[in-house]
Amino acid sequence: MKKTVLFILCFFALSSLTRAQDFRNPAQTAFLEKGFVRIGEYNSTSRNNVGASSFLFPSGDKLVTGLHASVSADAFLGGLKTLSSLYSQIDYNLVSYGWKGSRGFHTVEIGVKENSGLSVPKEVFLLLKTGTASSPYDLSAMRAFGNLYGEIAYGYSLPLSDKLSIGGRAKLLVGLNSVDVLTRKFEFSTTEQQYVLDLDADIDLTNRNKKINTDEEGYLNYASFTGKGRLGIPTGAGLALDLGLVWKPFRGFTAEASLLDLGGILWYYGNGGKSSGSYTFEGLKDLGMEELKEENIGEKLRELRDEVLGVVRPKAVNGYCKAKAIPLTAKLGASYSMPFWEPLSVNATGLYTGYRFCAPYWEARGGAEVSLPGIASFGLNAGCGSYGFVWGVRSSVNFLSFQLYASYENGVGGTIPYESIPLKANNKRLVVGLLYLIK
Amino acid sequence: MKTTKVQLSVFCIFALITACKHEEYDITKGIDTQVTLFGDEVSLPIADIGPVTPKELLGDIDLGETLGGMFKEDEEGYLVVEKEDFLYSNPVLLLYMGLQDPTQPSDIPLDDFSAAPGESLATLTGLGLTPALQEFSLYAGNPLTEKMAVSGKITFSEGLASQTFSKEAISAQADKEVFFQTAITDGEPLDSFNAEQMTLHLPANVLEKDPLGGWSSVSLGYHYKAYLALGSDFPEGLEFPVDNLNVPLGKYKVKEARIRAEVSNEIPLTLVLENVAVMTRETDEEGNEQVVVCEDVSVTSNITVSSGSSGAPAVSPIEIVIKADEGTIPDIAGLRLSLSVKAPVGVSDHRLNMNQAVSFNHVRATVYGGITL
Repeated sequence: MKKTVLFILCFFALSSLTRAQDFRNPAQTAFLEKGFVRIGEYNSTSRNNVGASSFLFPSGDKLVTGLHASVSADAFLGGLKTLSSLYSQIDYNLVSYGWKGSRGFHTVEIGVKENSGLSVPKEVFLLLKTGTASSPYDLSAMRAFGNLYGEIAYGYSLPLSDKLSIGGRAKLLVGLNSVDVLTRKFEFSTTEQQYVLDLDADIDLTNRNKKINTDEEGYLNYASFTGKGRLGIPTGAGLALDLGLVWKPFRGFTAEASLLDLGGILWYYGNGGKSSGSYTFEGLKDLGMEELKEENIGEKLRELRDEVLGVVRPKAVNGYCKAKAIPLTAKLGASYSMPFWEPLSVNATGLYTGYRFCAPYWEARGGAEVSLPGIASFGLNAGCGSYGFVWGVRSSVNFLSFQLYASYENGVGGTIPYESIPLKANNKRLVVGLLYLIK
Repeated sequence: MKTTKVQLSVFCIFALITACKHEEYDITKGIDTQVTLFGDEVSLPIADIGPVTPKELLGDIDLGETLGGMFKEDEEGYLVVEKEDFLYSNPVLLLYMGLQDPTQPSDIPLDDFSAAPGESLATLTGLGLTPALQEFSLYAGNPLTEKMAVSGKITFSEGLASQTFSKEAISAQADKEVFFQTAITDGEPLDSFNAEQMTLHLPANVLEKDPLGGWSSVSLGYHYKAYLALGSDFPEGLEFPVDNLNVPLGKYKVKEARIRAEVSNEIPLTLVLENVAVMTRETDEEGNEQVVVCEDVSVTSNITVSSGSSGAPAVSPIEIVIKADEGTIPDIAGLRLSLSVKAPVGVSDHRLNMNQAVSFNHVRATVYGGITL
C-alpha cells in the first residue's frame, strides 16, 4: 500500500500529473450538484507538421542547416511537407462561474484567446536548395497569421433524463487584433531567357492601435504610423457556439460528443494592403558604354529593384470587413468505470480540428484514469494522430474546496536539448487550471 | 515484488520519454550558418549590352592620329586615306593673252600632270590593312559665266586600266565640279596616276565672261579617298590583357558557370577567342603579391564571332564555360585573351567604320554546383 501511494506521488511530482477539468463539452455540467468558480485556466497548444530535425542536421560536433552543402537535397526536402506549417494557440480563461439552476446548469465565462501560424510551401525550399532547374514554381498558399480576441460566453446544460444531457454555449467574440498575410497566387518561373513573377497577396491588418500611413505612391509605409499605442477599440465582433451531448446508457459508461467553436469573427481591417501584379525580367536592357559605368549600373539595379517592389510591396486599400472562421473542433469520447473498482476507468477519445489556414489535425487516444473523489485523480493515455504517436498525462489534486488540475500531451521524437523545440512533427498541449468548488 | 517491478518499469518509461533530449541536436554547440543555395543550377538572364562602337570605346582618342596620321576618320566614321591637290591653276587673263582669236571658242592644251595619292597605303598594307574601296575623281573650277569643257587621259599605276574623257562640261561658275571619277574595288592600291593630253575647251570672249575681269583662275585638281579594311595578312594572333578585374568569386565557392549570348557584329572582321587564361592574385613566401595564371580554372576556347558590315550585322551565338578543375573558382584578378583576327571574305562591304556596332544580346548565365554564402 505504501509503495502504491509512493508510486502515485512520484508520478505527480515528476511529470506534473494533474487532471484537466474538461467542461469544454457544455453538456458535462448538467449533472453537477454544486456550482464552481474557475479562477483561471491556461491552455496552450502548439502544432507543427515538421520538426527541427527537418531543418537542422548534425554534422560532426555541430549543427548545419538543410541548405548546407553537406546535406543532400533528398535528405532535406524529403523531411518537409507539401505545406510545412506551425500553429500555436493560447486560451486563457480569466474567470468562469457556474451555478445550478432550477432545471439546468448555467455558466458564464470570460477569457482571451490567441492563435498564430505560419505555412510555407515546400517549393520555396526546393528553389533555394536545388535552384532553377525545376521551374516553374508554385509558391502559393504561403501564409502567416495571428489573431487575438476576447470571449464572453454563456452556457446552459440540461439533463433530459438521468442518462442523457445536452448543453450549449453561446460566445460573443470580441476581436482585438488580427493580421493575416496570404499569397493567393505566387507563381515564379525561372529560365535563362526570363524570370516571370506573378503575385496576388492580401495583407489583412487591423488598426486597433495605430494606423499605418502610406507613401506618395499609395504603398503602405510600415515605418510611419499615426495614433498612440494605447489600447484601442475592438476591431472585430463575432459569435460562436459550443454544442454538446453526454449519454450514460448504463452504470459506469459515459459517451459524449461535442462540437466546439462553431463560428467566426467579422474583422475590420483598417490597415489592409494588396500586392498584385506580374513582372517579367529579361535582363538589364540597353547597356551602352555610359550605362556600363559602375554608378550607372547601380542606378539600373535600383530601378530593377523598384520595379520588382512595385509588384511585391502592398498597396493600401480602403478599410474593409472580412469574416474569418475560428478553428472548429469536434470531439467524441467514451469512458467505462471498472465494475470491480469504480475509481478506475478506461477511456477513448477522438478529436478533429479543422482550420482554413493550416493543416487539419486529428487524433485518437485510449487511456486509463484513477479518480479518488475529493482527493486526487490521475490518468494516462496514448494513441495516434496526424503526427504519429501521441501520449498524455492528466491529474488533479483537491485541497479544501480548491482543485488544481493540469494535463500535458505530447508526441514522441525528442526535443532540442534545453530548448524543448520538437525535432519531429508534433502536437503539444498544456492545460493548467484552478477551480473553486462551491459547497 | 512483481508490483514493484511493474511500477519501476512504468516510471522508467515515462522518465525516458520526458527526458529524451537528443544531444546531437544541442544548439549550444553552435550552428554553422553557411548555406549553399541553388545546389544543382541557377539560371538567370543578365542583360542586353550594346550597341557599343569602337568610337565609344576609344572616347576622345583619335585612332588615326595615334597611329601617326596615316589615316583618318571621315564624316561618316569610315577609316580612310584621303588626299586632294591642285593639278593646274591659271588666271583667265593669262589664258586670254595666249589666245589667237579670243572671240572664238578655244582649245588650250595643258602639260601632263602626275601625282602619287596612294603612296601611304604601302605602310598601311604592312600593318595588315587594305583598301576596300578607292575613289578617284578629277574636278575643275570654272569662274566664267559660261560653261567650259575638259578632255584628257588618265593613266594609273600598274595593274589599273587607263581611262579617257572627252569634252566633259564644267558648269558656269563651278567651284569644284567633278568631271571624271572612278572607283577601284579589287583592292589593288592606286599608288600614282598620270594626267596626259589634257585640253581646256574655253568659250568665246573668255575675258568678258570673267566677273573679275580676268583675275579669276581656272583650276584642275584631283581627289582620292581609300576606305580601309582588314587585309588578309593582318597579324592573326593577338594577346589582349584585361587587368584590374577584381571579380570576387572565391567567397561564393562557385564550381562552374556558363555564359551565353548572341553577338551581333557589324565590324567586318572575324574574331576567334582561342584561349583565355584566368589570372589570380597569389602571395609568395616573402609576402609579395603577384598576379599569376590560375592553372586550376579552364575556360572554353575557340569561340568565333563572325564578321558583319554596316547595317548588316552577323549574329553569332557564343557560349563560354568557366570551370574549376579543382576546388572552386577563385577571385579573378584579370584575364589574358588570345585572339585571332581574320579578314572577312565574300562580296559584302568590308570597309571599317568607327560607328560599326557590336551588341551582346540576351546575355544569360547558369551557375552549376550552387552559390555558397
